[in-house]
Amino acid sequence: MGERSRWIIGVVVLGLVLSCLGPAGADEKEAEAAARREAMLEAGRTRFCRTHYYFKRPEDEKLSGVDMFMFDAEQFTRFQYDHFIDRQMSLLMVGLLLDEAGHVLVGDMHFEDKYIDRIEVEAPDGTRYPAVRAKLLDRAPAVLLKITEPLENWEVRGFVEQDRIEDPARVFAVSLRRTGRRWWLSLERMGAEFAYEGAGDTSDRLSGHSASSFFGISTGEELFNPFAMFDGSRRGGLMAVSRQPSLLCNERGEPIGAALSGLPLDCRQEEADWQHERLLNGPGLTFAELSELVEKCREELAGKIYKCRLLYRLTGGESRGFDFGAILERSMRMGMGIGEDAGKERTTFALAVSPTRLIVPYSIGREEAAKIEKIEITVADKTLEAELVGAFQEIGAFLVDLKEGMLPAATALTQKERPDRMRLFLTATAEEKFGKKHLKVQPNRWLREARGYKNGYYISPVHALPQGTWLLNKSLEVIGLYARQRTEGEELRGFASGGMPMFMMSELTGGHARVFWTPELSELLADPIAHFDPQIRHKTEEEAKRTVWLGVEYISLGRELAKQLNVEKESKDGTIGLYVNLIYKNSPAEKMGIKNGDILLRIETRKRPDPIELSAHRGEFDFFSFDWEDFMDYRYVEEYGGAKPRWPLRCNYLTMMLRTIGVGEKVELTYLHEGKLETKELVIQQAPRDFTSAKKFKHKEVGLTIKDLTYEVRAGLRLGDDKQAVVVAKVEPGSPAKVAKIMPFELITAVEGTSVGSAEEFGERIKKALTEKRESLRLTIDRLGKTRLADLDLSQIEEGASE
Amino acid sequence: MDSKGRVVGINTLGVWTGVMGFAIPSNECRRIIALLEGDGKVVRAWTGMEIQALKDFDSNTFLDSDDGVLIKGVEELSPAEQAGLASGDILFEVNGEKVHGMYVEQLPAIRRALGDLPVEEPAALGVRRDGRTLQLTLTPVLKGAVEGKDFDCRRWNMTVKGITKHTNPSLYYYRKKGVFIRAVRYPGNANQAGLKRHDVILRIGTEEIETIEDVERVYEALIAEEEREKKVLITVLRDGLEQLVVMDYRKDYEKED
Repeated sequence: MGERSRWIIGVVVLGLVLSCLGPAGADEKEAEAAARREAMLEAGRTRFCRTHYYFKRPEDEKLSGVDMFMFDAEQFTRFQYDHFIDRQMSLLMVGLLLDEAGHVLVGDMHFEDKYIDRIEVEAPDGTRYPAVRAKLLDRAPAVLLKITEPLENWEVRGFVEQDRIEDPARVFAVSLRRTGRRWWLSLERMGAEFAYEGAGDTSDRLSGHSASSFFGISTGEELFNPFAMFDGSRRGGLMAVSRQPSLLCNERGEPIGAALSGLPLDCRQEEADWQHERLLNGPGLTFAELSELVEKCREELAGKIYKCRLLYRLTGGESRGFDFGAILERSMRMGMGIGEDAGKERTTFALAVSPTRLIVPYSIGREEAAKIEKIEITVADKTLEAELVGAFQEIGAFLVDLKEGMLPAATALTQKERPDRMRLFLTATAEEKFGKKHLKVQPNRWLREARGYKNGYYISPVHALPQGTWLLNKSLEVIGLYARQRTEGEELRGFASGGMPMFMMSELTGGHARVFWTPELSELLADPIAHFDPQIRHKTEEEAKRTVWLGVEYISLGRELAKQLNVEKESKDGTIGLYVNLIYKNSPAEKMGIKNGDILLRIETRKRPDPIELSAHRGEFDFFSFDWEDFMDYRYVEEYGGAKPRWPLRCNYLTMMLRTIGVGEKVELTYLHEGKLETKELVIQQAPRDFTSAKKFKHKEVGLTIKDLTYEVRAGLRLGDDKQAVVVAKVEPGSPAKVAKIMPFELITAVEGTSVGSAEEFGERIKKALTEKRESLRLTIDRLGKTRLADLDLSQIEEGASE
Repeated sequence: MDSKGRVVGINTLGVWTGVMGFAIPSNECRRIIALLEGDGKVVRAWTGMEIQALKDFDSNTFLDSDDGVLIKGVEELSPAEQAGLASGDILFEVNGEKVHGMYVEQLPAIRRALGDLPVEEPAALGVRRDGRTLQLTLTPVLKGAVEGKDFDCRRWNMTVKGITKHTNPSLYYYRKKGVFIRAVRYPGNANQAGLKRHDVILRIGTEEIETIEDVERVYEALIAEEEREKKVLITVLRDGLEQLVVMDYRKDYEKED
């Protein structure tokens, strides 16, 4: 091994390398193979080097703590910089010397110039040379470094000219690897196992790929794990485990080029380069050119991307706790929202596609859209009002139209081109920074793609992309949008698997994002109405609160209960099934003939491929065991300071699911009736007003929120249809109502001895009393059949005070 | 006892620290003793009217009246309802005796007076309603049991009790006669099964439960049955809704420590 490769401690040969080459006799063949192996390893020993990146803090920037959980490329790098700078550590990357002029190939780690203090290349003999970044390659995810001093005692054997690979199985890759502190060279034959499956064959080409990924270079430690990078080795160097160069050798053991680990090898160099000559002289950008391009891109987009503020309706206190749809949506979108989710407003950024129309690449849910009260677009220093046109069915984006005024600039989404694999393009993400619009522009490229839902293309970008990112070509034209792929019936996914969608890990990722190339986008924009999701629209507060009903209350079965009821088979050991224990009058359930004691098993809807198995709780032994209904109870308790009404909450699992399917949808309900399975058609109907959506009267000074007596309250309290009363929904602290010891969920049956039947009527009586400047008002309170009298002291209340 | 050694009250409930205690005054005792010596039982009348002080500082409700007591409510199907009393009336006279219920402290005396009315004998009530004075006639009936009987389902680690309208009005509201769970012990089988205090027991297995004797009978029969799997389906009424609970009593909590 010699002195000059003192850090190369061991050589490991992988696989049955070279064993089957050449037609000669066994011994001869063996000797020949050994010689070639040694030639390749020698090439590796001489060409591989270690590069050290040292970072600095740019003067104009104060680096601050970064949220660990935001795996956004820029923030992540920032996080690294912080560590490197604070600890004065260098980042260690494997480099490959391409020529004796001092060009070194390293993986593209996307470091900005302003953070780089200096770069050093450590030759195999330990000599350190200063280096600069010469070029960002266009046809390989790599950077070319140039050593700025002449090389001493660093000689390498020249490359052999070869511009295509006929049989990937006859190519070898030499890579420098590290395990702990031990550095070693690996020698692998590429894709040996798959050599027969597509060698030189174009049948498995996917949109012009010249090689299948089976012929890729193995990755070693490809996983980009931040923790794997921190390694307290002696000199405090850190190892970057991203793409590293491998030396490619032909079957004669002669070096022919270099490729990056973890990538498919493009045998014909149609899209990506590996030949040394092409790597050295191929297209690319100097980092000065890149900075200039990024700056130009920012300027170009600054006039086309606008800040778009969504202002939401504030829902009243008593309804806030019940907005489960919104909670559900929020949990589904965790980590993919733009701006702050303060509950009252959200800041997003919209791209102008015409002087009055903008597209907002933000996946908005039904509950959220329903609550939008106002949309504001910031143009220069003016704020223009806009309205929601609609949200797309397939892509997590929506359109808004200006109500007044015009936008100074817009983008015509006409660019048909999509970038080839490995080629550089720019990405632009708008975000809020110190209260101002900030465009984050970065170079990126994609390495692989796959077909997904409805034949959409999913690409794997080199640098992670946040959803809502625009893609631009080098001429700064918009070529695509990276956004969430919405799938049909996705809102129902959580319900289908039973129980609480909130804690389903798969939902937390926010679904899958892909690139929607411009032709796809312009098709959507040409006829947006045809592509809108009709369920995503603005709703009045009242409309938003109204829900649907089957008209039953139920209990979840569970294993023991299923056994006792002898329905183990039908209920799959009690894992599914809702045991009906109440049927509301005049409800769809009553009309269908469902009876107390029936067990609802499944619902089939055209929106889901499989029937939804009804189960309000997740399995007894499930780690995330969480009962939907328990959660509701908890919300109630939280909302009312411990008080809980003696009537059922209508916002249960079944109702939420039916509501998600949608009013007017036809579904098939399968249930057990007297031991027999029945399947009936059901058209989902809007429910009468329930306690949540009941008409109400609120007077803050008096301290009362009063609601109509609704059907489920009557059923829960066993009141007849003729019972005249209103329900106390809320009592303000310190108010006359509180002093009179009126409690939430009590009934008020009379005011001054005359009965009261609706919140509206109650409100009029209060208002009249205030107009007449009455000192007090006597209410008759009913609590589970026991009545008492309570005086509301009105003497301190101004007439016409807020309601 | 007082300092002369005379009995002034009988202690019924004391807090161990001695700070607070409850006692039955000797006057009350003497009255009841007299009744017990006479008929052998205390006869109480039930009118079904619910009273509230005229000046009720608790709910800040004050009425302009110098005498009488406020009727806050009238129980359904009660003599008071039959007599035509209504919520909001002021009762100022009973059989010619003035009623004074200005403050909450005076209410027990009125309740006692009403309870002492001769059963099944019409009583004349003087009532004020909306400024008018009415004379109503009310015939009290015999008051039923105040406390239901109770029973300890030892093996299930819970106690049950009969519902009465006087002590469990909120349960009586849902079910006029029946049995409710007075307490569940922790740890215990009832607790494990998810039964809760104040659940009204409707059925054990397939047996309908209406009285404490029903529970006793069904419980004893189940416990005696050695062969059966020690699980039974219990149907309870909780907040107006029927709930099904599987009582698994294979484990004997009292045997294990």
